[in-house]
Amino acid sequence: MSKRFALDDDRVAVVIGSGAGGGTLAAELGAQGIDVVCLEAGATPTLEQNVPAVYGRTRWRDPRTVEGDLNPDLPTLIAKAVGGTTVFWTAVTLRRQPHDFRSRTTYGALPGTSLIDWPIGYEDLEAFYAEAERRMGASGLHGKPDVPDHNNGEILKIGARRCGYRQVSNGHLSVNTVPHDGRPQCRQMGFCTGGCVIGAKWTSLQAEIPRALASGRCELREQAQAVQIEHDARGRATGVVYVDARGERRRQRARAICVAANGIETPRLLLLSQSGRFPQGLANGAGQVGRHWMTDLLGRVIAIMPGPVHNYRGTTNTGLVADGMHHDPTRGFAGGFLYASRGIHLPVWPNEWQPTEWGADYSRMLEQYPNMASAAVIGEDMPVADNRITLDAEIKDAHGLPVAHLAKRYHANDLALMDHALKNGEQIYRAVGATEVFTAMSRTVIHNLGTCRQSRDPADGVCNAWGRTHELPNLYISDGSQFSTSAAVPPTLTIVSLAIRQARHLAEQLKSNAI
Amino acid sequence: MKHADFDFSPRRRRLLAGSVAAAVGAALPPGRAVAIPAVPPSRTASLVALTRTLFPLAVFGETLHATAAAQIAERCAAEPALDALLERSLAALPAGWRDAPPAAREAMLRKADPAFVKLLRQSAVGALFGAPDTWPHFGYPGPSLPFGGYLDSKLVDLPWLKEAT
Repeated sequence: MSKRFALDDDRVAVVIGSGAGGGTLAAELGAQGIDVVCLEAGATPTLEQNVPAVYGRTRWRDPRTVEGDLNPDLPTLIAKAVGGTTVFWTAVTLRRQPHDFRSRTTYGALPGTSLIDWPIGYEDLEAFYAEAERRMGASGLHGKPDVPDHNNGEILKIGARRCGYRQVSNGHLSVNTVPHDGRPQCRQMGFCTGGCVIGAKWTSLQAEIPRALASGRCELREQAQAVQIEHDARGRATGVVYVDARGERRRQRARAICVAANGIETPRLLLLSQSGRFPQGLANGAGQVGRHWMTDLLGRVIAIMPGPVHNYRGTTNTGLVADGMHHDPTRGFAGGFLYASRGIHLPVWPNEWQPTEWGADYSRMLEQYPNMASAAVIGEDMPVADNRITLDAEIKDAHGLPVAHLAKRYHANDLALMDHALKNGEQIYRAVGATEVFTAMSRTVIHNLGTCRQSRDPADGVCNAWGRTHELPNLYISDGSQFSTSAAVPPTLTIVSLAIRQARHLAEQLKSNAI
Repeated sequence: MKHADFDFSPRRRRLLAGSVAAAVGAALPPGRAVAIPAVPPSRTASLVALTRTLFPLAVFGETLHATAAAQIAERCAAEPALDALLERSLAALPAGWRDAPPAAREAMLRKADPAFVKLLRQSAVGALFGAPDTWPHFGYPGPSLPFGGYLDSKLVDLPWLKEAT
């Protein structure tokens, strides 16, 4: 049952954010017997099978300023809600490949990038990957059945096989193909991106936060937006100032603080917490906070087929082509990519494809919705030091604090990779008779990574192999911000695995009074 | 910074349906209060012509475009800056544009203030593609929860694709 802790209780660990990283961390710290206060900026979302309505209510709407290649009106589509962006996710649950932890060594010095190797290797995470897959009930793994085939996925898979691809499957989705963890079997309803109304999809909202509360060690405070992390004269983090639902500022004392506020708000919070001792912001002595922002490369292939597709039926991302995941420099770029089928509901169709387009030609395409098949491309995004989150010099948020300024320009490697993936994606659909194929790189992104990255050398990043900041011994980075590099796979399984690993480590540190 | 207005929950749709009825002068059930701004008929007609220029799909009839027009008018009534943008942008359109052929109207709108086009588009997408009445024309059934999802039905039915089972 939900516990209550006093604001001046300085024995607790404070977790900022309740998404894939924060929710898992809170649950796992609770399981380890650690008292936790979880601060969540958003409220508990109401889910329904109406994706635009759910997006409208739960999207992160705080103002941001944008510079570079992303859509200035909607640079990122992430949630401000209990459960974070796991509410919207499509549950693709894939491990990074071993070489994805040795990016600098594998790719060499790509001019213009700030590539490093991770301070951990695949072998450090392997057992946690397996544990996270079991915990999330990933389909096709550890005895769980595959998700069933559906039209949109079959079209992608058959086309891929005709083109000679071999790593063609239904992938692994964290949706329950059998009842699991107190949640029901997936009914193949579609609407994954608006949140699963029956809880068959793993989300932090429906799996980890309930687990955290059931531990009897966790208090969740909703609509509590962290605005500053405080520290003492010794340089130890001491508490978090947050704004509560009534707009009042509160201060929660803490023994350890874990920041899992998404790759934009996590660095913003550290920058907002500047002080006399940390004039550039917390953990930013090396000037690394907010830099190396990676979004993953997202693309879309839309194909008009000779007959009806019913692409809205079933799990959004059933159907995976993974041949492109490996690193093959002969293709003319570093890193890899994959294709996953992507169902689209009619009400979001005009915006999901080209959020600003209109007119007679576009309408003729929209009209062909019944015969539309679609796949998403996800690809590795190279770190660039100047792709970064900073504090805006002029614009302030509702609390009078500088908003995040987002600067992102895609590297030549990114554009070469996406060009290759989209051209080959078109061929897949041509091979199954597509009459028209439309391709584009998305300028609205979902994954925000690398902005407080792990590094062996404190000069190269913000935190160490456990996510602990190089500068403050009891301040941790617990979300995708800690990624040293991105990969061809979506980040969620890795975020969850890192959170489990970090929780065990932190619990040990706290129990042994090392912190 | 403005974001797309994606809100077309059922409750809001009902309110809008009322607004449209008032905007196009249809009879309302007695005693029904409809809090909408007075929209001059010429402005409504212009907005309808504009949303039709954005999305000239045959399945979207006059009533749906009027819904979109009413939604735009409602937003502008609530935000003076948007209202000024709308007024300014409508006034800048050439005389007689509403009777111009579709291609000419599209060319005209491509030269208009992008902020104006964005305002029109945001409301038009929600009102047109979010309208359950038109979903059957797209073969889209809407929510699947009422019938329990597709798990027990045939999820692969692609008669035009021989390899599909």
